[in-house]
Amino acid sequence: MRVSTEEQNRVPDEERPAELAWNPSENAVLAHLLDHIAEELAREYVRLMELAAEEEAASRLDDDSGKGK
Amino acid sequence: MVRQRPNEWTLSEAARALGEPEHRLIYLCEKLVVQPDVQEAEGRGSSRRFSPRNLLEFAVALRLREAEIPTSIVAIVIYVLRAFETGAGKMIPGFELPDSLRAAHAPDLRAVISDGNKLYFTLRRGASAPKIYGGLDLNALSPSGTKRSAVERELARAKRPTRRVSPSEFGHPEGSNHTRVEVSITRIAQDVRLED
Repeated sequence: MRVSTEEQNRVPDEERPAELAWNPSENAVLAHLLDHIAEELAREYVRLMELAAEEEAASRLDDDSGKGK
Repeated sequence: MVRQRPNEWTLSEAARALGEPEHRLIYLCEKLVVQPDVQEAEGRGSSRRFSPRNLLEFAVALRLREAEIPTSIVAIVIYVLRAFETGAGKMIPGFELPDSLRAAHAPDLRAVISDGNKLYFTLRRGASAPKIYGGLDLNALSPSGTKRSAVERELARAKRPTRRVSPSEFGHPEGSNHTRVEVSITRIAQDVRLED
C-alpha cells in the first residue's frame, strides 16, 4: 500500500502535546448551551425534510396529472 | 470477515470499516470524544463495542483530527451531533444516526471552525442558502474551566441572528476572515461503510 507524504508527516495522536480527556456534558452550563444549538438544528432539519416531502408529493401529483391527459 | 453481531462493531471491526488504525480510535475513546454505545472497556477481558452512530462519530472526529482540530473542540462537535439526534428523534419517530442522514433529500449538516476560534453549524437543502447556527467562541469554552459568565454570553449570542456574507466571498456563509475548516457530516454519514 502506498503511503502519502501527508500521512508520513502526520504526528501520531499519542505523540502530540497532551490533551485533556474532556466531555462537554461534564459542564452543565456548557451542555445547556450546546443542547440549545442542537435543538435549533433539529428543528430546522425537520422543517427542511418536510419541505422536501411536500415538493416530492407535489411533483408526483404533477406527473400523475400529466399521465392522465 | 463477517461481523459477529449486526449493528455492533468491535474495535478491530470499527477500525477496518473506517480504514483507520485501531490506536486512533482508542485515542478518541480515551479522550472521551467517542463513548461506546454498546459496551465500554472495563479492565481485562472486556472490550469496547460500538454502534452505527459511534462509527459516524469516529468518522467525523477523524476528519476533524486530520485538520489538527484539538480533541476538546471535536468533543463539542460530537456532543452537538448526539443532542441533534435526540432533538430530531422527538419530532421524527425513528430518526437515527447515521441512517437518517443517508436518506434521500437529507439536508446537508456541516460543522465549520472559523478562524481557528469559532464553531458554527450550517444546514442547507440542495442549492438553497445555508442557515447558520452557533458561532461559539472556542477560546471561552476551554476544558480547563469554562466560566459560567462566558457560557451565558455565548448563549445570548447564539440566539442572535448571524450576519450574512455574500456567496462569492471567502468565509461564506459564516463570515470567516482568513481560515475555515468545514466538514459535511451528512456526506460523511453517507460514506460510512456499515455493511461487511
